[in-house]
Amino acid sequence: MTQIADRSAPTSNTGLLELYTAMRRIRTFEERVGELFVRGESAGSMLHLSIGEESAAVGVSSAMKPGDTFTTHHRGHGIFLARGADPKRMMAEIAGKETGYCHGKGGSMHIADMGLGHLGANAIVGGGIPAVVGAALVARRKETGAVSVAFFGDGAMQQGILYESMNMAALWGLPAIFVCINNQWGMGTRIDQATRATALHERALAFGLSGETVDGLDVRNVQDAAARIVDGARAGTPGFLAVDCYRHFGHARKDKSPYRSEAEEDEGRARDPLAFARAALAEAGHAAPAVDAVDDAAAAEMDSTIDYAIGSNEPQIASMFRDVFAPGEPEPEPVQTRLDRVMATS
Amino acid sequence: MSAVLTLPRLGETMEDGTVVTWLVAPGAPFRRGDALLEVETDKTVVEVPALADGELAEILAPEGAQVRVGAPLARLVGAEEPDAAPRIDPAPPATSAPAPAPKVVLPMPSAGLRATPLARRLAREAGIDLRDIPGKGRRGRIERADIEHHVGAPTDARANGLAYSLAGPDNGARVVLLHGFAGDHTLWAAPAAGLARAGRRVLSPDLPGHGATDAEAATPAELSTGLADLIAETLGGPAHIVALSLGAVPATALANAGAAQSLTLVAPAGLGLGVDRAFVHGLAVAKSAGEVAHLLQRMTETPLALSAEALTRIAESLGQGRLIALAGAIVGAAGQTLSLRADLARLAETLPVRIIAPHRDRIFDWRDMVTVSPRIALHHLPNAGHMAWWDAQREVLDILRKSTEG
Amino acid sequence: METLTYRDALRRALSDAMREDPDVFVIGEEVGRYGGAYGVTKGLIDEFGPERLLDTPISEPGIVGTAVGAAMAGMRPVAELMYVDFIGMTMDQLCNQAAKIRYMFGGQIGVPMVLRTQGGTGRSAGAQHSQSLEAYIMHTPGLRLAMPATVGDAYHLLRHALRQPDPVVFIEHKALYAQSEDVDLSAAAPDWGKAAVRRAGSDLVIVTYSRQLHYALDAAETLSAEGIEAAVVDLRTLNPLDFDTLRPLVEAAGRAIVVSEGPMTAGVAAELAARISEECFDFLENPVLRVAGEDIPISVSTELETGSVPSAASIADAARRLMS
Repeated sequence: MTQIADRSAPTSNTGLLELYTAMRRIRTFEERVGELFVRGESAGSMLHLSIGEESAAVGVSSAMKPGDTFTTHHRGHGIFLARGADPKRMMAEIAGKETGYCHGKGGSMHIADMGLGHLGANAIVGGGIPAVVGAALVARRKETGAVSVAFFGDGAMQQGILYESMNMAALWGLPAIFVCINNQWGMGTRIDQATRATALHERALAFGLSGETVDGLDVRNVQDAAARIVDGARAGTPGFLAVDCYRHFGHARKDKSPYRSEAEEDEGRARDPLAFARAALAEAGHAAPAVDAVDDAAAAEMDSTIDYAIGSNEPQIASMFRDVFAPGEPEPEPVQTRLDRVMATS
Repeated sequence: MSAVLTLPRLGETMEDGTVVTWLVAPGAPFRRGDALLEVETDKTVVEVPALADGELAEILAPEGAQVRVGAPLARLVGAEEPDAAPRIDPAPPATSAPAPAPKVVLPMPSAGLRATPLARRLAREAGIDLRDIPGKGRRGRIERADIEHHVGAPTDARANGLAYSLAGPDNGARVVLLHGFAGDHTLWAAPAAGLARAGRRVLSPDLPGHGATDAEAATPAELSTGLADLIAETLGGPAHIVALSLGAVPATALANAGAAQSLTLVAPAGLGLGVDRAFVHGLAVAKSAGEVAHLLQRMTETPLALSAEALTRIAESLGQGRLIALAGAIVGAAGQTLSLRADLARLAETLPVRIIAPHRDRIFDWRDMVTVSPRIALHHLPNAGHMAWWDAQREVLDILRKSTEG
Repeated sequence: METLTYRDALRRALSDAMREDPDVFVIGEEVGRYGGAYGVTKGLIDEFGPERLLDTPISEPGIVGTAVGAAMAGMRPVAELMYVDFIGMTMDQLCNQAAKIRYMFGGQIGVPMVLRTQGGTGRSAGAQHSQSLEAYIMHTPGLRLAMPATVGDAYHLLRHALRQPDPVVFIEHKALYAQSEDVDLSAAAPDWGKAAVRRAGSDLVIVTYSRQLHYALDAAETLSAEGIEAAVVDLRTLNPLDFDTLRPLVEAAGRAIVVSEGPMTAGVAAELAARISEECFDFLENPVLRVAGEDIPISVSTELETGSVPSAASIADAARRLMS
């Protein structure tokens, strides 16, 4: 029997240290995003941090390949970083700067990069889900072998669009994957305050998708489950994966979350995928200094993102009228121009 | 190194906040990312984290204090300045805008008047005060037609000793209206207004010896004195010449001098011997309104429509005897002394020449008017008297509009 | 020259585009085996197969969202929404996603999809199947909007729509599908975004689009017999909006009526009336009149339905009042 080597090394065999490194970069990035906000340098207060959810982003991403596409929800910094984003351009985008991925027009909740297959973060709960059905449809039609993954939170589990999308994906046997990062809280509403059906993957099973729920504490569990789901999707059975985790901080910024108890928060934060991975690394014989070096490298890298973002230029005001329509199409007439024109002839 | 921790803006609508709890005690060290205190904003309770490692030296805003954004919360030791990162200004600092010039708000003289936007613009362009214009549109609204009518209203003036009236838009086709013996420009008022409304630039002078014109005319030739200059000055070029009766004499002279684009002659003199001698001599010597009324009635088939005041005015003017010499010059013992026939026949070879012949003319014989060069166009008005437009207003205006196009 | 119906012309535009471009496909409820609720896609499945005439479940947001994703991933979907009334279901995918993706993502990618749908009164279809909702679309930056009134435009505007780099909402009128016309589809197509002056006239200008064009032309005929000459302008596309064709006509006539089947308040006619008032103010002899749908839901009763929207008679009446 001949073993045929994959074009790229299977990322699902990535070692724990690499998984930890990816998660640490996300955590440190998110911490710096919080600082950017406190410094008054972020472009707005709509910042949703994914601290505590790193294993979902890294675990699923490790099962994906270059060429795969994905959409994310509003809490998607970690997913994009796991898929290879440049944290400098991300931070610049969050700061609303010209050098950002979307030249300051998108910000934290509308970041995208076609080169990395990121079809866009979305500020509408569930809004980015059906696009993966379309992308998966094209992948199958053009036989690219790619899958398309929708990442969303537990809030989207109660949105109708998810079920329309899963139904069509299953009906047509598309390489589409639906990943629910269940951090237990949809803004100030706990999952069990939003639904009686908290075994989320069962809903996918009902539509004919494969489905699992996995504990996000151990990123390796997530990686394994994701690999199963992704492989199934590539073979024509779309899948659903719920990753249980905990939103360590508030809904947006670092709000104090008065709607949940301190005891609950302590317990939730104790279920920290980074701390868990760090312990597992120690158990596997990785010396503490080596892991500390990962943390230091992440800190240095992410510190530089803040400098880059703050040092970058604001977009030119004239760019405001660009990209409403395709290049070459007339730009919308500015209100002031219109006023000048009308009054010049009146 | 010490720094002052100030209250950051923690939400786009946040203007101030209340310190809820200090999470770090004075003198205590903290690490970057540690929550220093909790602040209650208009929306929620927020933790303010440390941006660097350091030590809390002194609390400046105790628990319960309400603090404006940017106001000091605490003194920190060892903490770097919050905005120590290099900053690249996106744009040069804005130069202070020059103080706005005091604005003069022009009174709006037409405020409160009902007028359409189009009418307002036309009035503005013509320099007309809307308050001078009666609106004839719906609910008294001033509309385009009202402005045009107003623009068409004559302005009376005087140049080179000639009194005249000028009406119609500046850029309209040029028209000169010449009155007949013993008349003046006011007799042309109705056709002049009609032509001005149709966009013509209309000049109607008082001929020498007539009306408000000072210059006298003892001979037919003197009727043309100063006319060519007046036309050049007021109209700026050759014009369509329209003339009544004796006006045909200066009209022909202008055409001979190259000042005419066309000739339109209404009941013209100079085409036959026949003439109502009593009419000519009577007007030259009439002194009473009654005489004038009887004489003028000869010019129309309908009852004379002039007011008593108008008749008196005419009688006063004629009573000065300015026309006695001229009357003698144009009517000899046998009849008309002048013939325009040869001139008109020649002019008709190069110019549009037309004659309006009223069949009920009692001053001349209309048959003389139609036995002319075949190059002259003829308009027959079977039911009109000498003053053709008094009896056939619509037809005469239509003919004049057509003959003065372009 | 051939005689085609509005429906035929739309079908022809789809099949011509699908033959030319393998990336074009139709996705929607009943578009394949059934042939479309109004028969526009009838028979296309025989030539292009079920993959390109993709029948979907009744999931309007999912249909539009799938089209958005497919367009971003490189194909050119034509999503069919059976009635424009269902557009409310899809507003997130249409207005928050399709319309904004190019802008939000800094110009990285566009969404070259066409959303075909139909609207308007005329079938006693009731309050949820008879609306004219184009103002919703016109109010959203990033969306193109085409509303053909003639058989020729049904073909050419749809062909144009399928070449646009940005999302196009294409609203047909349900009362026009059976209308037939002699057309030469091989003749040069009109420019995209250019209004058509369907009738010349110097007394006033009637500006309209979609089915109301035919009512406006009927009204203009009636008025002509009374000595009033109305120009009639068919906007064809509401985005782009061709004001350049309109302006000189309104300036010459000094009077304008804007006709729209949608509700009057904050509608298409309101936008046009505002623009005319702003840009042609000094040329106006009268206020710009809106002749539009009543601000009420549409009834099933033919009497009530007909009374709810403009007609040739109501357009002519407005014109007479303007001229008196």
